[in-house]
Amino acid sequence: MTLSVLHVDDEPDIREVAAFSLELDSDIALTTAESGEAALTLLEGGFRPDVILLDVMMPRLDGPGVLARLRSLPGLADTPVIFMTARVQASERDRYLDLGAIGVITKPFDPMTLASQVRDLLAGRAA
Amino acid sequence: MSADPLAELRIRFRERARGDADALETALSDGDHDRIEELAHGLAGAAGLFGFTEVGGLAKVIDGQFAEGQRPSTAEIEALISAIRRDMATYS
Repeated sequence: MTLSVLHVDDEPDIREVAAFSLELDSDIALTTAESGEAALTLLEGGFRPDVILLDVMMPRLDGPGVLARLRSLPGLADTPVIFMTARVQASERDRYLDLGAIGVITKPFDPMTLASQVRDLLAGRAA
Repeated sequence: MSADPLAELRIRFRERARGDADALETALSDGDHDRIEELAHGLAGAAGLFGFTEVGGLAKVIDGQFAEGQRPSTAEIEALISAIRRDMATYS
């Protein structure tokens, strides 16, 4: 079954490596957004991914800000969100989970295993 | 198809990182800590993706200090600038 993934990151290099990584999994259908605002525009337009990979630190509207706003949109109250961040301090990680993310992926991620990390986090949520 | 599918992206990253080193130097001389944080954060996330582990590690330390409300020393920022210039010049 195809997994629809929305990846949001303001860094073009990271978007491109993530696209390469996720598309190694032929059952992933990837959509990317270059900012929090662009992601919300997609979601407000009715796009409903199965999971959202959200960079934490973005200019203007950061990942936690996007998460807070998307939760109020119809059909997105329970959509799994995974934060991606270079900041790996335990306190930061706990804060992201407290916000409602199902997991945190540390950057730099392993391009060869990103898709499986996403699937593992989703499987852990379903368990 | 290239043997290394990330090779093109890596070449582009090297160019971007060299620009980041110049921007870090300018931000350091201007005392622009917001800009230093922004640049270090970007490098912390991206450099390791392309195998530049020393640059990524130095950037991550600086980014982590900002995350904790501290400021990195001038020596740490200069070490990052030097590592970028060295690694981006010699990596192939």
